[in-house]
Amino acid sequence: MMPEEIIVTFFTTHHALRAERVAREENISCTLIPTPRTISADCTIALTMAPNDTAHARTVFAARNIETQEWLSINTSLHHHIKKTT
Amino acid sequence: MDLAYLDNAATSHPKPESVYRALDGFMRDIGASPGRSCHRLAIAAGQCVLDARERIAALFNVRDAARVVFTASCTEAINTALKGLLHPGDRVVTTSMEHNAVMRPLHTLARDRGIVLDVVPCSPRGVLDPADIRRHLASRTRALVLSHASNVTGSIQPVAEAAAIARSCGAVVIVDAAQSAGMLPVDVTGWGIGLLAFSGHKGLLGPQGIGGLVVGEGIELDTLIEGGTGSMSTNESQPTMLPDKFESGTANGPGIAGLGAGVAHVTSQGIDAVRATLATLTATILEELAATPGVTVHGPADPTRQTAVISFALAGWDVAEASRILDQHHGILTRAGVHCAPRAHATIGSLRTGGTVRVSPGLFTTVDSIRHLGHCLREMAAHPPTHDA
Repeated sequence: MMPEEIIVTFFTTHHALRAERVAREENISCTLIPTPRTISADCTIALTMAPNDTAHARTVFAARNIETQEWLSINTSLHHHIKKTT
Repeated sequence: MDLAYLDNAATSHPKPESVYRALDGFMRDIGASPGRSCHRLAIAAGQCVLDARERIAALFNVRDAARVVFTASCTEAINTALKGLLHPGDRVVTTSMEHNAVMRPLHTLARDRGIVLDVVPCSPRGVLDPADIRRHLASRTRALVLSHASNVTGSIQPVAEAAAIARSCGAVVIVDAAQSAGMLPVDVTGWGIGLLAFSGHKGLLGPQGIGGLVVGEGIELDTLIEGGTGSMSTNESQPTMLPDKFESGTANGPGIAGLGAGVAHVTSQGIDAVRATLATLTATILEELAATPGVTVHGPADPTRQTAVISFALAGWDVAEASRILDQHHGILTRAGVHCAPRAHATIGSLRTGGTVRVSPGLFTTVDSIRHLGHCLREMAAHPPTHDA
């Protein structure tokens, strides 16, 4: 099994930056990255995090009214293997 | 000669040190485009913008900071609000104390879209009576547009009350907060303001060239301009998400960084403390004017009913000439004339005499400089200019 990470996409930079700030406040380790071109997203900035932080992040973002576009699971060794998470 | 800068209603000056540092720091150490690339400096620039947006949202009690949109000025924000909201045939109620930033776009809309304009007269002190608002809103009205405080007299309008009446009549409330943002409490959510335009370089202590518009929840607004936003780049249609919908083109990064620092200064002092400081300076100016023979104060002449903006005339003096002598002989910087608000001057009775001399202290104004103003005015009152016929 290859290691996986989660990529969260957004509609605007404002939402991406806000998500990163809120995630850090909640001690969720995350990084802002240029949205991979293989992903169709409105914002050119995306957020990556470990899969086991996803549930926490989803709860926090919902509570803080941070709108996300998509949550994608990406195989870090094979970047073209992208699937939507539930 | 020490200068007494009493023109803060035009632009506040000087600024807190933190504002200078924020501008310099942004240009020197960040410099990149906010919301475009994704490298570390672009993200740092974006975070500066986010900081400013969130501080402004907190100051005005806006739940979602994405609804705070940056513009080049309060005037641009007002134009976006009016031209984005009003459709052919819409009826609009406004007041007789408005600045041309409101009146000129409304007149353009009356000419080009046939909007119907109804101007509510204010009192000779420049104050709006909410009962008049209720009467003028009797007919179906799309929007009520009013300033929170007058740039001529400082008169504080009963915005919360007027907004409640307007909302009960189904009208969108558009507030011009150029003269109140950072100086008076503003509660977008609590008062039910639909659109709030604010200036960044006055009470919010930022540099010139930055302002903004708060777009209330549920308000549908068309854009004034469209273009690149850094988002939805494969789509040639304008994004519909805020704030991007109204922020086409590269943002004024240094301006927003400076504004963010200015807002932080206001917030750290507390809006009530800022208001108290400015009210004390206003009271001192009114005291000096009352002690000067031949002075007529226009407006409330009451620090509890006005912002730190005081208009007056001096018997025997043309207002422009009085302002010139105050500057050239005494180093006191004021603004004379009609202050881009002819209807406001007509309301208070000073339009025919060419307007007023306006003095507007700021957070860094000293009581000594106001005593100096009083002393100079009394000297001028005793020696009016003589003109050949």
